[in-house]
This record gives sequence, C-alpha cells and structure tokens, in this order.
Amino acid sequence: MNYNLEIQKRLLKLDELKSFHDKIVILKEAIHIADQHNDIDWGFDLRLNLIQQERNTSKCKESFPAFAWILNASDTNEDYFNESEFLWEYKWMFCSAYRNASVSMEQILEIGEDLNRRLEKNGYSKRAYYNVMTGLALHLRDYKQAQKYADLADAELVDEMTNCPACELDTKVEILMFQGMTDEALIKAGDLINKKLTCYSMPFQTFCSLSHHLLKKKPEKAAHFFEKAIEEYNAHNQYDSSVGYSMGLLLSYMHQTDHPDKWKFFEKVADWEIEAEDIHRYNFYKYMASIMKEGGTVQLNLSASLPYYQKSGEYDLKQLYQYFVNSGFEIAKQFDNRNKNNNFTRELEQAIC
Amino acid sequence: MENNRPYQFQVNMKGMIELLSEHIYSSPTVFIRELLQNGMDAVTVRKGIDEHHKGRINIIFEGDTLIFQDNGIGLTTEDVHQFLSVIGQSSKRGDLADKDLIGRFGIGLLSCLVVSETIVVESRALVQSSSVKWIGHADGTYNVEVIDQLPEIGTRVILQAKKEWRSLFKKSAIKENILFYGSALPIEVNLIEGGKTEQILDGNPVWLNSESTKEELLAYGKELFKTHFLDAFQLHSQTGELQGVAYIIPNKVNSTASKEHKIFLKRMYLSDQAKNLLPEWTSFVRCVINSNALQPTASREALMNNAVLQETKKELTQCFKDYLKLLSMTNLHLLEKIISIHHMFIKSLAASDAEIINLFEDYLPFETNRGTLSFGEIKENFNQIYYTPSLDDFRQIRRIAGSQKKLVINAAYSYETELIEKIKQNNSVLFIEKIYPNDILEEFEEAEDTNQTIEKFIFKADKVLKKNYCKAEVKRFDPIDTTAIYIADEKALASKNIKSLSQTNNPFAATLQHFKQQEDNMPVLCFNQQNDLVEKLLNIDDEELFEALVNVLYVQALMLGGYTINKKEMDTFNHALYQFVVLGMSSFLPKI
Repeated sequence: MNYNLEIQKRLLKLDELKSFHDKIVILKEAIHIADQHNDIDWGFDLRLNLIQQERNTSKCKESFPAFAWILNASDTNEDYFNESEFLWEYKWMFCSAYRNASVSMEQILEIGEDLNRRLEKNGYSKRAYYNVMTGLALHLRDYKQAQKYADLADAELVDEMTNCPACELDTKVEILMFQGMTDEALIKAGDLINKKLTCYSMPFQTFCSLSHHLLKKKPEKAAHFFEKAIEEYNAHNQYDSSVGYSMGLLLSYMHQTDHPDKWKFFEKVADWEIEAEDIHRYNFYKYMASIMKEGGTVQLNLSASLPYYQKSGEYDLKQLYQYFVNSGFEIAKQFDNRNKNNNFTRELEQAIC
Repeated sequence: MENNRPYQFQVNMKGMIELLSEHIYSSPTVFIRELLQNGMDAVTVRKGIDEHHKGRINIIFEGDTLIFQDNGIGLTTEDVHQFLSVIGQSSKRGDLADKDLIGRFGIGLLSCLVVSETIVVESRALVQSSSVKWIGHADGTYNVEVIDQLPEIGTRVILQAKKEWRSLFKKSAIKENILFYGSALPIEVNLIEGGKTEQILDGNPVWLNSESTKEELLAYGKELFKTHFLDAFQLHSQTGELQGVAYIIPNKVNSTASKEHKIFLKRMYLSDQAKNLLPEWTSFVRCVINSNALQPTASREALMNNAVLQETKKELTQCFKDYLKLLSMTNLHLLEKIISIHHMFIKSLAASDAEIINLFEDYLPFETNRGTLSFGEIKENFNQIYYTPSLDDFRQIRRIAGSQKKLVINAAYSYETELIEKIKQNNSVLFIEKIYPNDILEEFEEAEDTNQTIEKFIFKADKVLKKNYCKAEVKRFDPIDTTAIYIADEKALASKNIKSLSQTNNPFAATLQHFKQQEDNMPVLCFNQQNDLVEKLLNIDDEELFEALVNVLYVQALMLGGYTINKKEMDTFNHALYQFVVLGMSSFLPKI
C-alpha cells in the first residue's frame, strides 16, 4: 500500500481513539512510516500532532525529540516551513524544559532567548515570551519576579501566541495567592469564578488552587470553591493527567477536610505519576506524602504498573508514605541543585511536617 | 418617602420568550413535552385523592387550533393566579411535588408562547363549582374570567399556531412528538380529529414491564433504535429509582462516537445522552431508562450530576457485571460473540475490576505474533507467554519470535499491559514475562570461537558501527541466508534518534542528551555465523573492504527490519557501494 494511505489510515484511527496514550502510540507508528520514506512534510505535521496529544498528559517523553526534529527540519529547510506553525508548541516545550530537573538553567535561558528571537522574527509581540518567563519565575518561587514578568506581559500587545486570557488571569491569581494576598487574589479571580473567562482547564484549576490556599484562612470559601472544582471536574470528564497538579491540590484539600471520596480520587490519579514530567511527580509526591502520613492500611484498586502495587489491594500507608517522601526528596534535590536554591526541599519539608 | 419606595422588577416577556426559545430550549417542540408534563402532573394529583381515577389526555385538532385536554385535578381561580401567572412559580402541592410530579421550575407553560401568540387555559377544578378561563398573551398581560361550568373536571389548553409553526400543529407532527417525549408516560393519550379518535399511548410501555419476555424487549429495541440487537438485559437501581433495558449493539462501536440512548425522568423524555450516568466502557449498549429519583437541570434536557447520580451509576455498573456473569454460565456462545465484537470496552472494565478479570480472562482477545488469539487459546497452546508494552519492540520481536516458536502479545494499547500484569498476578503457575528485543538475542546459539576470531571481529566491527550508534555481536541462528539482523528495543532506538538529533544546531537539541539511555543499551547488529558471507567476513583483514562490507550489511539489516534509514546511514551505504565498484573494477582495468 502507498505509504501516504498507510499514514492516513492511522490518522483516521487516531480520531476514533479516546486514550491519549493510544493516540501517541498510533502517531509514533505514523511517524515511523513517514521517516522510512524521508517525508519531512508528514514528519513535521505528525510530530506537531504528537506534541499536542502528549500535552494532554503528565508526560513529555516523546515531545522533546519530536520538537528538536521540528526545529532542525525548519532550520535546515529554510523558508520551507512556517515558524508560526510551531511557535505555540515552542512555548509549551520551553515550559517542559524547566519542568525537567536535568535540563540546566543555562540551557533553559538559551531556549527562552531562541523562542524570543523567533517570536520577534515572525512579527509577534513579546507578550508570549513574558508569559512563559512568568511561569519560570513561579517555578523558581520568585514571586516578585513573576509579578514583574506579568506586568511586562500586560504592557505588550495581545496576539495569537499570547496565553489565553483565562490562563493569564489564573497565573496572576496564583502569584497573589503565593504571596499570601488572598483578598486581592479573590477579587482578581472574579472573571474566572464567574466563568466570564474559560478555557480547557480553567476555571477548574483556579477553583482547585483557591480551595487549597483558602482552606486555613477562609474555610467556608475554600469549601465553596472545592464544590465548584468538583462540579467542573464532573462536567469535563475528559480531563487527563495534564491537570495532575490541580488534582494534587484537590486531594490535599480532601485529606485535610476528611472527605469521604479521598481514596476514590487517589485511585483515579495514582498512575498519573508513571513516566510523568519531574515537576508533576514532585507535586504529586509532595501532596500524597502528607496524605499517607496518617498511617494504617487502606484497600485500593490500583494499576499493576505502579512500583508499590499490591495484588491483595491492601496498602500499608506507612510504606506508601516512605515511597512518596523518598521519591519527593530525590526530585526536590535535583531541582534545587539546578535552581541553585533549596526551595523545593524546604517546601516538601513543610508539606510533611 | 418617595425615595425609599420599593420598586418591582419588570420582566420583558418578549425577551423572556426569546431567551427560552433560543437559549434554554433546544427545540420549539418542547411545548408538547411541557403540556404532556402539566397534564400528567394534574392527573397524578387527582390520583392522590382518588386512586381509582383513570387518567387520560386528549389532543383535539381543529384547523390551526390545538386543544390539550386532561382529566386531572383542574385549576381553581386562585390556582390560575398563583401558578399560571407567576413565572418561576412551580405548582408544588405539598409533599407530592418533589416525589411524584414532573414539573419543577414553573416556566414550562411559557414554551407555548414560542409557537402560539396566546395561551388559553380553561379549567374545572375538582374542588370548585365554577370553571375558569385564563388567557395569557405574549406581551406579558393576562385575563381571567369565570365561565360556564365545563362538562368534565380537568384542564384544556388551547393554542393557536403562529404562522411559522403551523406545520408543528399537524396531527402527524404532534403524534411524532408525543411518542418522542411521552412514550413512557403511564397514561392513555388519544388524538381526536374530525370526530375520529386514535389511541397512541396506553400507558404501559413494554420495557417498563418486568414480565416482558426477551423477544418482546428485543422487538421494542428494534423499533426504537432501528437496530437488530444481539441481546437485551434489564437495568435497575434502587437509589435512582431506575428501571430500564440495555441493548447490546451488534457491531463494533467507535469509542468517540456519541452514544444515543433514551433517558426518561418520571417517565417523561429527558435526553438521548446518559452523560455521567453510564460509565465510559458501556459504549457497547444502547439503553432506554426511566428514573424517578434523579434530578434534571433547569432546561430539563440533562441530568444533574449529584450524589444520587453517582450512586445510581455504581448500581448500574453492577447490573452490567451481573449480566456478563450470568451469560458466562448460561450462554457462553453469546458471551464470546459480545467479547469478540466489544473487547475494547470489556477489557476497559476488566482492567479495573478484579472480579471481571477472573471471570473473563480466557475470553479476552489479544493481538499476538500469531494473529489475534483469546487468552484461553494462548494459555492452552503455549507454555511460555511473552508480552511487550512497546509497539516498536513488538514490531521487531514479531519478525524474530516466529522462528523461535515464541508467543508474544502486543500490549502497546490501553489496558493491555495492565490486564496482562493482573492476569499474571492471578495465575502464578503460568509463565508470563515481559520481553525485549534483546532477549531474543540471548536465545540464539552462541558462536563457535576458535583462535579468538570472533573477539577480534567484534572489536573491529564495533569501531565501524559505533559511528552509527550500534555495536556488533556474532551468533548462530536461522534462517541461514540471513547475514545479520539489527536489534534495538524502544529505548535504544530512542537513544539513537536523540544522538542524531542532539548533533543538530539549535538550543533545544542540547537538552536531549539528558534523555539518552545508557550506552550498554545500544542497538545491536547481530551477525549470523552460519551464513557463508559472514563466515568469510570474519576472516577479512583488509580494513577498507571490511569496513565497506560491515556498512553494507548494517544498512541491509536496517532495510530488512523496516527501520528508518537516516541521511548519514544512506551516505555510508552509498560510499561502501562505491568502494565495491572500485574494487571490482580494479581487476578489469589495464595494468600500467
């Protein structure tokens, strides 16, 4: 059969698949066929598709080499591909670079500069660049710097590379929350809370964040936002592991309020850590460790792929605690070495104390 | 003081109707649903007083005028002011309201103004000696008057079709919509035109009768969904006060396609979607369901996702499991047929349910290097079962494993690995192992090495192959005419790809080194000592010829294995061929 038809056959199958894992498997097959025939057009489109599918998960295993291939194909075939076609994905990949503890800060900043250069070259404002730099500053727990980048972004024009308004606003709310400015954050979050601004995962992520941050200071409001988060979660039953961070916040809330569905949610998200990006695993371990600390045993229906899987379904929480704490500190150390501070270790210590 | 006088909000009725027709209701036909609902509720209330009362709805056609007439409780003058004239006021009547009545929001009658300029309601209440007439207008005004006593207790709603909606008032259209919305209602419904009466509902749908035979249910399913289903089974949930029938679709179902069901609430049609009520893996059935306890959303076109719905979902899951369990004992042939068509969904259920996996593991089909086989067949015919979670690895192993009489399962897609690992946990006596392409190498016969020929060969070949991120090995294997095979597991191939990309010139490429696997996981070019050409190659001393031959065999092995050949490898191959041509020609050139 003509290889073009072989690829198209797989793309048709792709539309029928629901699981992102399966979509990635089928796209890799299609890429293999394209590469066998040295077809860079298919190779380019299929790899962009692969990155978009993997973006819906907590992993970024396939996207790194796929994106390096795209950049190389574009650079070595000048004027053949339109850079605007992959600059949006480049923003994602920049974020994935700092979410991976083994990528050095020099490399991250160099990628950022390259992205900035390409945005400018293609006539886009610097807003998209400041958007991703805000994310990096948040990752470094440098909230003042994050605020500076958010302000710089606001001063730039909005274009098609800019983060969507819902995501931009959610980031601003996060910055205020992390600085303990809860009242300001609540006012700022108005358009998200009232769903004037929405996107794929907003306001779900905002509600998760608000319920987590407000639990101590304003428990009634936290309970309200928790309910809203659950409502959103139920309304979007297609949420995959890309919202792992928010699910961690929800689980943490459920644990602290002794919610009856805590373990049901844990069962749902437990295997999202498998092959997940370092930052997803770190966040997951951080929130799960504090849950496991209560000790005792619990009956769970978990994936056999998890390193702590028990055929009996009975889990010793002390052992799980040890697993999450050890794994968490291991990644925290890697991030701290790279980021040249001890923010992640300190954060984890605080979470489990 | 004038400044402190409270003012009443004003409602723009025209705007309200636009809002209803364009945003809340999905179709202008919902007025039929609302009228059926009101009629049904009125009869339910009357039955609360007189349990022997036989409810009935008559729909009378008089040109463009439509009369909906019920023999329910009727409305008093006070009721008319309270329930018909206050928007948002539900006709709650004590405890009965939440439990037995369908209407909740008090906006239903407004839907009639979408299709009619006025609504005329004439009613004779059970508890009042006079009758009342209420006329509601689209501009928000209404009139009420006492009229001569109507001959029967009950309510008549008279609508005059707006010009653009005349077609909706025809008997055929009304009949179609009544059957669509109200086919489950426990009430007799008659259509009356030109003095002729046609009964279209008798109030006893076959799917809600627990004594209906399977044949009757299947015949109903065929009529309803226009499909000849494989089987049908009953659904019930105590929490959701739910009853229904699930029909097994006779063909493969696309998991992303919309799933059409028929969902009724208090026996009034609600939606064709069962979002959140049925688990994802139930996509192989179409259901007709009625619930008396689940709650509708305000538009009355979907179910509210609340604790009752979640509990009902669990109970429905149990119905599916019970049905499958029963089939395994009573109709194995049908069970095998269902699994062979819908294995994707049954596997999804089995992956998360220990009981189901124990019961059905033998029937679950898997893709193997010997075609699709059920696990029962695999277990019966192979002592050792291998599986791989990587499609790349399966592609490679499939080629080699056949000659070794190995059985390898492709577990690359959803649930496969999870299922196999759980089957393995359940069957400790079975040999089930994960396999990597390199494991195949281990099972090839060791090369015969005299005078350290092999050792020296590997040393020299490694030097050549390293440029292509590959290492050499020598073994003895079949078929003899195969000179060499290229073996790389998914990780080794990924590392090779990363190595080649990390040499490119962009800042992103530099990060790729962090993703590379250990060097000992390099792809391997395994030479076949049993092959004549390889036997000779082992003894070649000429470095140039040796390099050219190894490179040719390397690219040939890539081609044989269906691997991607990159530009560097193609250049190497071309260069080696050129060397052969030059070497070959040298014997025929005139000696100088």
